[in-house]
Amino acid sequence: MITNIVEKILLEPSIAIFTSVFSFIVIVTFSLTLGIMFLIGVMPIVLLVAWFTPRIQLRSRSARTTNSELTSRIQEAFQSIRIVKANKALDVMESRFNHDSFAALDAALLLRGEVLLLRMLVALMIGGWIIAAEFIMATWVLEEKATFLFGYVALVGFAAWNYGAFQAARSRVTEFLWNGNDLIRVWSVLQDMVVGLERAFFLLDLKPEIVDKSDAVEMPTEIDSVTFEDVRFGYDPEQPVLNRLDLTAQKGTVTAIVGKTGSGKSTLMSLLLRLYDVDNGRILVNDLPLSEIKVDSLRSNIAIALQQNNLFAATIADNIAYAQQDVSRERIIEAAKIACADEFISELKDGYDTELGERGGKLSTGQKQRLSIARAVVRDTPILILDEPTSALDAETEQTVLRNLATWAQDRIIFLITHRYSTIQTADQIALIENGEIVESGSHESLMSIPDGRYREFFSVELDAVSGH
Amino acid sequence: MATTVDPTVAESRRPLFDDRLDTRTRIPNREVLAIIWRTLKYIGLARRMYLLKVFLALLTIVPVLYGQWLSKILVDQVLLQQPFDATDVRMPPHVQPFVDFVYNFSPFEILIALTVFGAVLLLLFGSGIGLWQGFAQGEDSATQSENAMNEGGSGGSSALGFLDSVVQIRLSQRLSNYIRTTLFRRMASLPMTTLDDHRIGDAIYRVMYDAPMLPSICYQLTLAPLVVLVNAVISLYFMAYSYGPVSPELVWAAVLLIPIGLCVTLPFSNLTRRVEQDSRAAGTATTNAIEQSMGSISAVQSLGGMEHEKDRIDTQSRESFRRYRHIKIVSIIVQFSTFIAQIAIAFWIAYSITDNVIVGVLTPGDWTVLFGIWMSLAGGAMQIGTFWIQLQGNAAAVRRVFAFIDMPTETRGDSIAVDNPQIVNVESASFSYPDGRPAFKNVSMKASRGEFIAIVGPTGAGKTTLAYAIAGYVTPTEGKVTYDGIDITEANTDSLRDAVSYVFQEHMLLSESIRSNLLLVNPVATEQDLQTALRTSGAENVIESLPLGLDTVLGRSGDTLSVGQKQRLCIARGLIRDTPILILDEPTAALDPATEQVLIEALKEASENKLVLVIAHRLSTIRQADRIVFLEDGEVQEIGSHDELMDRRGSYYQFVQLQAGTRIAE
Repeated sequence: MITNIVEKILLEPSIAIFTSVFSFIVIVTFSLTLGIMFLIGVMPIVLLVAWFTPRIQLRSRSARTTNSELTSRIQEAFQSIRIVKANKALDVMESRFNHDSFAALDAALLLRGEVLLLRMLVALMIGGWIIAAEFIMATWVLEEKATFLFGYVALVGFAAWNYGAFQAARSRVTEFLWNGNDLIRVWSVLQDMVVGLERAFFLLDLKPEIVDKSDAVEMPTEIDSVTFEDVRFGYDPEQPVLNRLDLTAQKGTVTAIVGKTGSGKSTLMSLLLRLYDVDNGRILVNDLPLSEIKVDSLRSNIAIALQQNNLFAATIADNIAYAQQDVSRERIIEAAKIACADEFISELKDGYDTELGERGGKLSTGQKQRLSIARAVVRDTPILILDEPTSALDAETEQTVLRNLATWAQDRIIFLITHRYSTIQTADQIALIENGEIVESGSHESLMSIPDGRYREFFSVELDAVSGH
Repeated sequence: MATTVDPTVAESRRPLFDDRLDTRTRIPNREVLAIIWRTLKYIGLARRMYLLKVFLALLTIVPVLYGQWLSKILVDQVLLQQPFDATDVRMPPHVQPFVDFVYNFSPFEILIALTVFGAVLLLLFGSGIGLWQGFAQGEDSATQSENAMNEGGSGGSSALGFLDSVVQIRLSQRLSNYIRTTLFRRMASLPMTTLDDHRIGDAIYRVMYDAPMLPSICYQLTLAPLVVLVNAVISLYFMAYSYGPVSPELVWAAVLLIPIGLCVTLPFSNLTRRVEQDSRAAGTATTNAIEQSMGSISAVQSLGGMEHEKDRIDTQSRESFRRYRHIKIVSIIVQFSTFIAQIAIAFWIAYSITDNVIVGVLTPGDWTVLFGIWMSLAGGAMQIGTFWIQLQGNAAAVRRVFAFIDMPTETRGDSIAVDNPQIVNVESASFSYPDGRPAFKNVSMKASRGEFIAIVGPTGAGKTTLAYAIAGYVTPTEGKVTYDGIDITEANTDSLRDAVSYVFQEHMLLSESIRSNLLLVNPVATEQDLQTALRTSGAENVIESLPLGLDTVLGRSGDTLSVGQKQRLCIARGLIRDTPILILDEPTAALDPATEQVLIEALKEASENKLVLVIAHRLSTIRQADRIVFLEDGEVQEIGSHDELMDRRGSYYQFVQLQAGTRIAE
């Protein structure tokens, strides 16, 4: 796009302006009247352009908006094709698609129509001017009228208007006018570009929400504890998701965070990663507030295995070693073994060199989850967050993964977000979030021993199911 | 460690550009011809509009045909004041009536007549200088595609040219949109297993960008050469008519210009094509890199991969720019040699015409006519020389489009309809993926309406594929699935879809209002139906927590909601169609125990007149099922109720023990 701008917006117009000026000077040497007539003749063209410019910008804006809506519509339609297929919703989807598509196409046609209309009117005016100029110059030839500045021009034989002078002047006139036409073409396309760049600059102007303090420090190398102190946060400050939340996690422990869907478990971890800043209270690493630590340094010390799988179109090995330099194959395999992924990877024809599609096509949900875990493990960070990473694993695999992790995590801090009973059992500390705060925390035994405890109630259904036989 | 691989070897094996769709940089000419032939058939879809476009495009030649002859009269009869019969050159037939009209006029009167006639031509047909859009375009497929989608222009610049351009834009849009819709429909008829491989979906999405290249090929192949050809034939005819008797060598020289024009451009065509294809592949790869990182920006951020991503895009962008420079250099060489050839031809033409003028065979006015005709012939010939190059680029795009249109689709009979089935029977069915991996083997099970059945088993046991087979999304490679005795591969697709609702494991919501997400699957659902479905799935309180309720517009991919909330909405969507069979794949994985229990109760209730099949891991879900189908390594190990299977102390018992863990002992 940029190369295109340089070529279209800088180079071509510069040449056009240069030649027009030259042509104009030559025209004046032939006839001052003609020169003045041309200056006047350019006025209506300029007015026309001035009138069209805001209209083109408006059309361009609406064309771009409808087009980007269409693009996301298409993308989504393709992503949800299975829903469409299974529910026989093709016709509905297609009519929605057509609706958006026609809106975008109509907007594009209007924009282009507007540009073409301007260009047509300008071309007509210019054509008219050329005919008029030819007519005037031809009458002068018939009258054998003297040319302006004839004394100098006489040197090249054009003292009076004759056939030669006519041809010479005419080619300058057409050149002058068609260069003007080119400039207007560039101008109208420029309007569309300006609107495009306006949208791009809007994005560039957005400031990152999280910025380092000027005196921010590196993350401590030895991390003994992570503490949430009276933390309050809401995506919409009016509606806090977390409120008065206190929690401490010690080195060498697994802290399970439990709570209802939407209770803010994942949000809590986003705060630890400083994807957002807390509204109130603070988060401490050892005794150092999070806001004092460089964001890059913080994030490179926390590994996370996400609830939603984000795999990239690359080999399995590259996906596990994502964003890591110089990870040996041994370490990748070691991490895969901890995540119980090694067994299925080695069954694949190309093993660790198997190419994955975007979003990890070809693998089952459970397999993708295990790759996510391996990816977090290979980063070898002092803090590890597992956000429902085992929801698609069967109990046996899950238990093996968790046991492996517990061994691996001897001198680390692990956060485990879950609402599965089986997952929690390996945790040293369990924190139950309700209404944005931690209502109960402690070991499984101590929580279960609270007679009407919230935790006990939370899992009662599942426990009944399990122990019911 | 037996499988140690040197990481540098693995690294080098990966191509820097992984544009999987267009890996071959050369297309054999024969294939290009086949693609072109197939493309041309698409014109038939908008036959009338296309003919209108052809007619308008041909009309724009008119001013070109008159312009040079009017100039001749202006020079000879007005400026030089010669009589009309000073030379033996005949005026061509279309100019003769004008000549007859002004034959006895004075030079000044002829000038007035010329001016009036010129103005009329200008108003009707324009000045012969075209209206082309010239919108900016980068190396990204998006703007290229948008420009191609709205391709249109005209050789004329009057109202005729405007109309001509608008007709062409509409024509491009109509054809492109038709192709896009076809691709989308085609995609929906691909087998479910193919769709599970997301690469296919991503690839087709990119192919959507290729679709507008198809009308583009149609124009390049038919319209542009037609206009050049018609122009050339008429010009040559008039030349032969007017100058043939006087100076035949000029006509022959004009005829020779066409092969000369081709000779200048053809030697470069192979080079241009290769360089261009390289550059395009790099451009696509860059765009892909950017799109992909944007799509998973949260993952990138949380993994600390920003620097890594920046480097990756930077490298690809650099490479893409380097290749763009190659294109530029080659095109400058081509343009330069074309320019040299043009200059040489121009000199020779100028020399021979001037010679004739001096001898008195031709007049200065003929100079304008001949020079004009020759230059336009040479230009046309060179343009034709580059057609082949441009076609190759577009042919690559269109080849991708056709490749997807031709992808194998599901085959099923259309004759028999399944109507409100009561009994589903899986009869010793097996399924293997195309690469030979088995998903499930020899599964037999029978289920009828009124049952609530859980499919249970370790990860990778083939549960989802079995559910797909039951729903008729995949066809077993051996054995069959019947509904009331009808083999569903024989059944009409629509009736089959009407029989089954399926809630997928992944949550896919559109960025529209929640209501329109729900109505997508059943546009005639009433408010009451929506409420019931939301209540059943436990999504009611999700809706209540949103200020706009059902009319809340979700963000892209529904990311304003938590995973659990999305899952509940997806379940609600699955319940809105009241079908005899309901299949849910891991519906409770992201639900907290209380919500899960509400859902399970609701499903049990629903199973009174439905067959409900649930794939689940969680014991609390499984336990409620009337029957449990326990799958391991693709084979059914046990079938029975929870209590029966527990008493049997077989593989299911062990599975439960593992999940319950030791703490159950308390």
